[in-house]
Amino acid sequence: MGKLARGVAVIGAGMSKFGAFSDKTTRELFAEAFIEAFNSVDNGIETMEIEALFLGNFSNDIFEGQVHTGPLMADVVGITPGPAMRIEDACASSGVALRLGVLAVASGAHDVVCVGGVEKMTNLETSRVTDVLASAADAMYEFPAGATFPGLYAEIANAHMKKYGTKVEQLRMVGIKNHENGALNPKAQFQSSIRDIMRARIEKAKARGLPVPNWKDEMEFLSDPAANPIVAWPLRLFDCSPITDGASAVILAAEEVARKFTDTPIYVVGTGQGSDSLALHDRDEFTSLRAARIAAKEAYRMAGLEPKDIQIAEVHDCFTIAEIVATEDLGFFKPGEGGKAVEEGLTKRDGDKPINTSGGLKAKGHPVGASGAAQVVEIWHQLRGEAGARQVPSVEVGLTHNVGGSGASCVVHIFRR
Amino acid sequence: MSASEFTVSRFREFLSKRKIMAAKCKKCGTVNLPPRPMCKKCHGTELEWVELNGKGKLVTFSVVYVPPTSLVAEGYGREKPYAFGVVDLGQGAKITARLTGFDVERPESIRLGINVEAEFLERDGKMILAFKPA
Repeated sequence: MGKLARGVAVIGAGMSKFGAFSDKTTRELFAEAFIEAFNSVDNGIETMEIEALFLGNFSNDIFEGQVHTGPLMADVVGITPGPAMRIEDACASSGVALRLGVLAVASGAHDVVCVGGVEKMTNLETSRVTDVLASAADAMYEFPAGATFPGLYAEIANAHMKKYGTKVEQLRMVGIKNHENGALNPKAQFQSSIRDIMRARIEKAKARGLPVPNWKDEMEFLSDPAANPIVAWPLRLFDCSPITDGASAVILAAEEVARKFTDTPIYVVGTGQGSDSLALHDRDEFTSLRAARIAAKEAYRMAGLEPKDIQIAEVHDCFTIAEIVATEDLGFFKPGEGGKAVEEGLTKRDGDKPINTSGGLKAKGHPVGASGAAQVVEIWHQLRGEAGARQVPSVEVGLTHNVGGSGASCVVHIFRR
Repeated sequence: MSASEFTVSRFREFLSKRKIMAAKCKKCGTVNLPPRPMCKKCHGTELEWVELNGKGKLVTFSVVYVPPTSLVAEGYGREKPYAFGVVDLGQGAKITARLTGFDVERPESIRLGINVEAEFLERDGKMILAFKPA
């Protein structure tokens, strides 16, 4: 296990608005993210200074019928003729793209590169999106059995509940928290708390003269099958990240040139990645992701830091149970105690360990191939003190945790101001 | 190293004859289910087919209300959910399969760890592995 041969810093970061955009293709989405990243470089940068593009994308083959998205996006944003490539590791695609960009700069092969991701998912109906997402699981053995992505994380949830007594209410609290954060993020797909969504439903019922639901709080709302239908037991609609269009872009520079671009670079001090079987049935345990533990261990070792040193983290909450498992795998809480930590408010913005201040995948949205690099956008803003209404005071060390599939890939990065 | 016969298509051929076949490692004895060309434990390539008796325990499961297109075609959906899960067939052999005979209307009644036995479902000329409460 190694270390970076030279320091690498984030010098710019940006993302498109996340949501459902029938009038946009991947080209416009990525351009939107890139232009924001480009303009965020404090002292300015020229496109010709960006030497390569590492682009995360999961399944544009099916979503848009367009592959070869690396050079396509490089052309759109004017950074050809340097190397440009698409990286696919399911939902970890742009987290892995980030790692490859970091390694390319650290190796000395490049001084400045762009890493990012893009996904355009809303062209297809939900059952087809379900098919595409399920192809990140074992297509020979899990898919024919009827596994869907919510179904796989539901299997993890049921195993976690059985082993540790984790409660569905604790899962719902993850969603409530992440929606509260997303309400403060102008880029989020859902800029509303679950309480706001509940109130809007009540007002709508009143306006239409329909029976007015009498939910007393958001937990009652989330327990109502009419408001929060089951997707894959025990996961309900508000346990699942949405289907999203969006893009993200991050500009990396070698430490020795970073200060030319900004007085406030954010250093990448740790990177780690792990792998595991695609199929859950090929693993010994379902309540923890080994790939995540491996990735975290390596990132902590490289950074010379421990879980207690991390002040803020963006973790892969594709489903609410995934956030609970993530906070255990990262060592923030002991195995089985992630649910309790949410219940105690430890992961809120004002808690000991703020998690997913961006709204997470749950509320910000989950354009699969763009999510890993979008996590970096939030950490970049937070560590620079530029996160606006959702700013956590005086944070200097942040972490991103990006998972592919049901845990066959995981990549963890640690950043320091 | 010779080309392996421990393929997905052979597994499916056996399944069509209502047999669950695994690749047992001649070196370390690991029962590799689903079969694979290299032993998942010792990475050896000397394997032999063994038939499993189809009796196992339910490790975990879900009941799916939002199916992929292939199960929409079978008539499943919000009004007609289906269950699937992971079954442990002993000796470390686990597989994902459809679950039948469970009360999917009351998923909270489905208990992990219960005994299950194999069933073989024919769908569009293909055999799908399923398990029902034993």
